[in-house]
Order: sequence, then C-alpha cells, then structure tokens
Amino acid sequence: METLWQDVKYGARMLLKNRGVTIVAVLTLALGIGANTAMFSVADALLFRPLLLKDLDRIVVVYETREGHRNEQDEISPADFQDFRAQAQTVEHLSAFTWWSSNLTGDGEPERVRGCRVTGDFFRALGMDAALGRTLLPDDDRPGGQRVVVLSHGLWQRRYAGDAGIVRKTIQVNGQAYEIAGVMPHDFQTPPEAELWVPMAMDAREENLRGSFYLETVARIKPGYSLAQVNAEMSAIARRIEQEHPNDHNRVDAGAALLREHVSGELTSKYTSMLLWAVSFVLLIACSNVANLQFARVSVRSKEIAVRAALGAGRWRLIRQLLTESVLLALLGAALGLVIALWGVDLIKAGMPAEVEIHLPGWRRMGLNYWVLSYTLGLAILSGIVAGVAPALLGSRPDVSGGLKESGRGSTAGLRRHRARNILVFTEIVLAVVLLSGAGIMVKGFRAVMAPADNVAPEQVLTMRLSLPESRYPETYQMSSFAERFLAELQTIPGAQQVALIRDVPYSGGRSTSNFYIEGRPEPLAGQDPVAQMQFASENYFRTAHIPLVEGREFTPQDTPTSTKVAIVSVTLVRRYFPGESPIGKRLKVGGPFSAGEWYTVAGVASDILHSWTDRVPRPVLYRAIRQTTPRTFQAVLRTEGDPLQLVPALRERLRRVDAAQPMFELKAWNQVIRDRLVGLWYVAVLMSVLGGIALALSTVGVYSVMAYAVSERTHEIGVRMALGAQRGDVLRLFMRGGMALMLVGLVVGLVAALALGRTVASLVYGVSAYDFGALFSVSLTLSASALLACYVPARRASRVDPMVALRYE
Amino acid sequence: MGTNGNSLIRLEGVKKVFFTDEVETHALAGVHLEIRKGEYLAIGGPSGCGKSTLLSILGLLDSPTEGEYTLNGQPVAKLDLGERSRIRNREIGFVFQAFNLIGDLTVYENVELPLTYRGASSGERKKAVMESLERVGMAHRTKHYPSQLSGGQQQRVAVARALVGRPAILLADEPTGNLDSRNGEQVMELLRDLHRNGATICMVTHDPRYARHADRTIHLFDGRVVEETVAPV
Repeated sequence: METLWQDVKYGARMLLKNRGVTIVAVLTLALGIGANTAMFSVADALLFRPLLLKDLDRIVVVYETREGHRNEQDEISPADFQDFRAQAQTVEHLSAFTWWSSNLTGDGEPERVRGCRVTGDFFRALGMDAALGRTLLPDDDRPGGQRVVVLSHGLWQRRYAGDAGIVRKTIQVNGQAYEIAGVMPHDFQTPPEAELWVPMAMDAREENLRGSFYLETVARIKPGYSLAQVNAEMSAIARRIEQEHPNDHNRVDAGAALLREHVSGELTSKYTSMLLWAVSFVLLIACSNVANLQFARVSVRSKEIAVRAALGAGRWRLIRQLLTESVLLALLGAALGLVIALWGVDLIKAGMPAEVEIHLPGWRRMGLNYWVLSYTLGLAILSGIVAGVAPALLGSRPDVSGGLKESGRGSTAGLRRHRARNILVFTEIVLAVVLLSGAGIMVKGFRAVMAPADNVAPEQVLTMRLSLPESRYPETYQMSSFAERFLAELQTIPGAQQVALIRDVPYSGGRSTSNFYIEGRPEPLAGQDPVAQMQFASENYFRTAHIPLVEGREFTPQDTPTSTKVAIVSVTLVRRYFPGESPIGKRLKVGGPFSAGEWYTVAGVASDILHSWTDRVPRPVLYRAIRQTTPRTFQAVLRTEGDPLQLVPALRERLRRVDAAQPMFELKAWNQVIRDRLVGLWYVAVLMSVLGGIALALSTVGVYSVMAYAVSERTHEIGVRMALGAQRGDVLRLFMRGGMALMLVGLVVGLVAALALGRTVASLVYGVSAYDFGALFSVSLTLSASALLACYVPARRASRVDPMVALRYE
Repeated sequence: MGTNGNSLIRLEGVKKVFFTDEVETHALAGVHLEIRKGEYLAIGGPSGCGKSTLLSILGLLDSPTEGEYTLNGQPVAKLDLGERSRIRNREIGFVFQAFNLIGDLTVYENVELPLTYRGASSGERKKAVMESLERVGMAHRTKHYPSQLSGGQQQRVAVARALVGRPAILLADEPTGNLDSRNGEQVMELLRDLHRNGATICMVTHDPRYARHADRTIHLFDGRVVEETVAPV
C-alpha cells in the first residue's frame, strides 16, 4: 500500500511536470468519460431503474400473445385475469389495471388527467405505501363500494396546491364524487403517466368478459421462484384457458416480463443500448489517443525506466508505476467528465417536451446519483488501464544496458512502440468510421421518416383531443349528438378553412386495431382474420388531412346514425383483402363472422398514410363515419393558412358553447404532434451526430499526434536524407504516404465493419437501408479530408527541417 | 585461473554475440574471470573491446550467449527476468558514468529506490538511506533534486544509492567519465574508502590513473581478457 502511494505521488509529479500533455490527455478522457457518464445516466433512468420500487427485479407483468404477434406483450381479458389469479402459484399479489380517462371538474377549470382503474392488490404488488393517507386496499375493490381515489404527488401539488388536509375530502371525477384516500410519494410513477387511481370494482358482467383484452397486470414473484418458472407457469395456464374457451379466445400463449423492461419499451431499450455502444466507441478512441500520448511519454522516459530496472524494479513494478500514472490521468479526466456529463444531462433533459417526458418513466430523475458516480469511478479506472496497458507493457521492457548509456537509444523498443501506435490509430479510424456511418444512417433515417409528413403540410393544422366521460355521456346517441354539435360549432371559427373530427391523427402513434369480416367470405381460420386499424372520421377529414380519395366518396353530413352505415377503406386494405376487385358496395363488420356488429357498406377508398413512424409500410385502415359511430375519445383537426395556434381561443370558446365542463387536451399544431412522436428518434440522431463529431475530432488528433511524433523521432533521419539530396517534396511525400496509407487501411476495414453493423442500426431506423452507400461515401470523404490535414501539417514541418540542425539532433 | 572459498563471482567461457540483421557481432569471446569478496577489480581496454558488455553481464542487465556465470555460489546465467531483477536489487550496486539519477525524484527518494523495490519498511528505508548519504557526505542534501547538484555531488548520491542495499558488489562503469579531475578524484577516493571498509568493487575505466587504485586490473581486447595486472601489496 505504501509503495502504491509512492507510485501515486510520483505519478502526480510527472503529470504536473508535463502539463501540456497532461491537459490534452485529461481533456480527451474527460470527453470520453463525460459522454459515457451522461449516457449511463440516461440508461440508469430509462432502462436499469425506470421505477423506484422495492425489489424491482421481482416485479413482473403477465401478458398474453396472439398468433403471429408472439413478440408483442398484449393485454389480457378480465376473465383470463381471474383464471391467472386463481391458478398462479409462482407469483403473489397478481393485480390488474386499465387506463381510465378522467375529467376533473368542480374545483377550477375542467382538466383531463390520465387515471387508472386498479384491482385491490395493485399497490401491494408494487410494494408502495402512500405518502399521505392510504393506498387502495382489497376492500375498496368491490362493485357498489364507496368511491375512493388516490392522487399522484404531481396532481396533488398542481391542482390542489399540496393541501396537507386533502385526505377524506371529496372531488369530482367524471362528474361523480370520489373521496380522496391518499396521495402517493413524489417518485411513484406506475404506470408512468397515471395521475390518479381508483378501484377496478369489476361487476360480474365485466369479470366474465373473455374476448375483450384491455387489462394490464403487475405481480410479485414469490420467493424461491425465477422469472423463467413464472413464464412457464403462465404459458401453461394460457394453454388451459385456450382449451376451455376455444371459440372466444384469440390469445395463444402467455408469459411474464420484468416490469422494468416492460415500461422501458423495446425501442427505448434498443436506442439506449445503441447509444451506450456508441459512447463506448468514443471512449475507446479517447483511450487510444491517450495511449499514444503515453507511448510518447514512455519513450522520453526510457532512460529513467532503465535505471529503475537496473536498481531491481521487476517488470510488474514498472507496469504498476506506469499504469498508476495512466489511472491518475483518467481520474482527473473523470472529474472533468462529471462536469461535462452534468451539462450534457441538463442539455438532454431540456430538449424533451413535457408532454413526452411523462411517457418516459425515470426521465425526470435522470442525473448524477450514487450509481452513476460509482459507474464513472469504475469507468475511469478501467479507462486508465486500457489507455495505459500497452505503453506500460512495452515501456516496462527497456533495453537496460543500452538505455543506461549516455546516448542509448533502444531501437527495437522504438520500433515496437511505433507499430503499437500505428495499431492504435488504425483502431481509432475503424471505430470513427463505424460511429460516423451509424450517425449518418440515423440522420438519414430521421429525414426519411419526416419526409412523408411534410406532404400533408402539418404546420397549418391545429389538433386537440377530447374524451367524453361515461358518467355524462353514457349512451352512444349522446356522444353522436356531441360530435354533431361540436362539428357545427367548429365550422363557425373564422380562419378555419377546413375542420373535421378523427379518432387519431396520422403520425400521432395512436392506433386501435381490430379484426373484421367481409360479407360472403368463408369463415377465416383461427388467427387469420382480416385486421385493420379502426378510424372514425367526419366529413371533410380527408381534405383536411390532405389524404386523396382514389375511389368512391367521402363521408357526408348525411351519414347519420339512422342512415345506412358506411365505411371508407385504405388502398392497402383493398390490396390485401380485395385483390383484383373494387370494394365499393361490399359490406363488412367489425369482429368475426358471428359477431353482433353492424354491417358497414364501403363507400370509398382513401390513399394510404402512415399512422406511426415505426410503420415501415402503410397498414390497412378502416374508416367509419364518426357521426354514425362516435368513439369516446377523438380529435378535432382544423386547417388554416396562418399559425394554427391562433385558432385556440376560438376553439376553446366553441367547446364551452357545447359543454362547458368538457376539458380538451393535447392541443397543439399537427407538426408538433409529429415532432413529439419523433423526439426520441431526433434525440438519437442528434446524439449519434455529436458522438460521430467527437470521434472524428479525436481520431484526427490521433493521426496528427502519431505523425507529429514520427516527425520528431525521425528528425535526424530527415537531416541525413536531405544531406543526401532529398528535396522538400520528397520528405513531404514520405510522411504523407505513411500517414495516408494508415488512414486508408483503417477506412477500408472501418467501412467493412460499418456495413456489417449497418444492418443492426438500420433495423432501428425506418426508411433507410443497411447499405446506404451515400452515407458511407460522405463518411469516407469527411474522414479522408480530416486525415489528409492531420498528415499534412506534420509532414510539412518535416519538409522544412534544417538539415544542419537535424544532423546535430540526437 | 584458480578458485578459492572467497570467490564472489566466477565467469567461465562467457561469450556474448549480438545479432543484427545478418551481422553477428562477438562482443565477448570466451571470458574467464573470478572476483573475490573484498576485491577491487578494474577492467580496462580500448573503446569497443567489450568492457561495458562484460559489466552488463556481471550486473545481470544482460545474459551471456554462452558460458557459466556464478554469483555467490549460485548459477545466474539462465535466470528469468524477474529473478534477475531480484538478485540485482539485493546483490549488486551500480554506479554509472552518466550518474543516472532520476531527475524527478529528490536525493532521498533516489537513494531510497532500491529499498522500495525490495519492499523494505519505511523505518528501515529511512535509516539505511541516511546512513548511506552520510557515508558519501550528502546527508545535508536530502531534499534537493539532481539538477540542483554539481556533477560530483550527483555521482556521490549515485554511489549512496548503489550502497544503500548493502550489495555484495559495486559495479562502476566509468564513474569519473563525466566529471572534472577534482570531482573525479573525490569519487575515486570515495570508492577507495569503501573498498578499505570491505566493499567488493568492479570498475570499468580506460584511465590508467584510476585503474591503479584497484587490487587487480584486467585488460580486454576484442572480447577477450588479454592481460591481467595485480597491484603490488
């Protein structure tokens, strides 16, 4: 320990002595470690600990899957939930929840918040207590029981000003009185967007629903069982359910996943993992640069190392001395890296719209904490070792007898070091090519995803969403009447050129999918029903959204609840389910052949449009007339020529005229809706570009430092060459050739690696190919230009060496 | 060459060949040599005769291509690097022409270094370092850096460093080569003094004035011992 302290003291002295090199190395490592720390903060918040729950790795969700969708974790039906709860032995407190759109009224402006209906064991499964009052208990969860509600900390603070005496007070939710049972702690975010929780209180009818899949679940793995055992048990229960209810059950399997992974989502997980890889590449490049600096330092200190060896220092002792210095450098880099990370995390958080961040559990907690700091410390030590190991290994094998002589020059060791430095720069170039290519593909992918949305001029469209509460609009005719009156009011807004209602605007990610049956067709085989996205649209919708009709007609005001039910289908639906025939006049109904649904006659065919940016190709869409069938939740769209947000006051006024207690939400321009949906992809593209830029800068510095060092090492040789008649151009070419050859080999290998990894990156991006030669060409050009410059500057210096000075130089 | 129980070093038929590309350079061509405990041996000869190579082999900085090397009764010619480092640290003290003090360490730290590598405790190190520095008259300069000392002072510190681990033999490679005559004389006097107190010394020099201080002088030429002179008692 004492000798280690001596190494540390000496190392610190050496770093202080060579301040210039130390500053460059510390800055380089700070960039690499800072980027890694920032990205680990993101991963910690979004992937590793998205929810602050006790024993997070014991909490699971139970899900079902459908034939052909085995990778999707679908909701389960109430009847299935009862079966899972009764039969499961490997989990405890299996509980269910479902989203419950909640309008708060009676104490200020009407406000729509996201609520949840939960079964009595929900909070016990999550292991959470209330911060104020109590959570919901199994006794609350019975039909006809007292209406109680638990509030989120955010809602309590925002709407009720943190009233400490709020417990047992009554509030109006969806027009009914609910007693407040308690308030949850600040960091409770399960499910992430929920702001209030009420008892599920399923009645017998709901409990027996077998074919409606809308419940999500949470449960706690019992001690002694593993996730694999839970999975196996849920699968076995699903098979039993399927055997017992073959007709009204289209789920084929079930499983369990960690809640942590479930809430993070597949895309978040994949993108975060990709960025973690990218920052580790940046750190490797930074380490390679520092290793190069360390090689130069070791080279200068070869005599000192030879003396130490002569005095009896073993190889391990020398390696330890050199590694100590390298780790010290990395620790300094980490200290500065923490400042960079702090700034980086703030920057990352600042760019996220508030409406989007509520969907990302853990996002608000993102920052430097104990875990992140421990990671940074570990990373610093590892970086120090990675950056120092090659110089330490080569530097600890000095030519002792030669090195101790007055002008001893270890030529073999010098050659070894030169080769090692070239390998490091080669590695840097390969990593930089891969990173830059990844960044290029991400940026192109982002542009490709944005491009189709530009065709519908979304910046001129205002959108907002309504959710009609069941308590005040219990019957479908009441909802239809609301839609009719609201549409009439919208048409009176000055400046609104076109107005319409739609279930979910395109690119918003909102989607409700169902199977349907085409009249006269044979009964489809299990799992092979036609499936389409269900939309509900008013007249003028297709014009407002710039979706051309290719056949038939639009919806009209005459499509009322009492007239013949009509539908419009998308081109992809026609191609898939009406190949070679016109669908106009054909009848179809939602559900299977034996469902009690009404028949809809196809009146028109609309062009395709993407509803989610993750759709690689358009999906079939079935539009129904919103005046005939009004969903509980829908959006209004208003197209104008100017800034659509100017229509907001008039829109509020028109809604107040129809129903003063009805809140509106998600009020924003359509292009903002699209941007919010793409914000994750935008983040990844920007971060990848930043990391690619850092990689480019660091690798250029790497090429430069190797070339500059080679020039300084070969000054004597340059003098000899010039004395023998070499021209400046000859010397320039000599060094340029060496540097560019290294760069070209790195570029070729890097491009091959980029092509191999491109498939992985392209699978995460939409609208680009893994073999995007345009992006690869740009990367090659950028790297070549920067490497050319990095080679030219030292080569030019070499060509201007004074041979007389050089020949005296030893 | 005869042997006796007082023998510290024994070389038998030691050869050293350097291979560079296609050229073989025979630096030592079968050297037989014995150094007794307490002996002061000088090695002389013209430039390129193999003096420094011989000293490197004696100091375990290099290994012979052929031949036997016995140090304190132990064969050491074929030891691995780690073992050679350990023996070098305990049995051999070096004094170099260029002093080879580490510029970023103080006088105290330079002298302490061999004991640090030996794993000696802080107390042991302090006692030995101060004793050694007092022996060479440099105890008042412990906190100085080498650059703050004259050449003669630096060489005295180097001698202190060589002595601090109480080695079996002191190997000195042209110890006066970088010194003026006054400082050179002082260093030689120091070595003589050490020898009088029982130290075994092997010194490479091409200066006959200093070789005369030794009990015995061997002359190398083309890698062989061509002459041996024993000083009159």
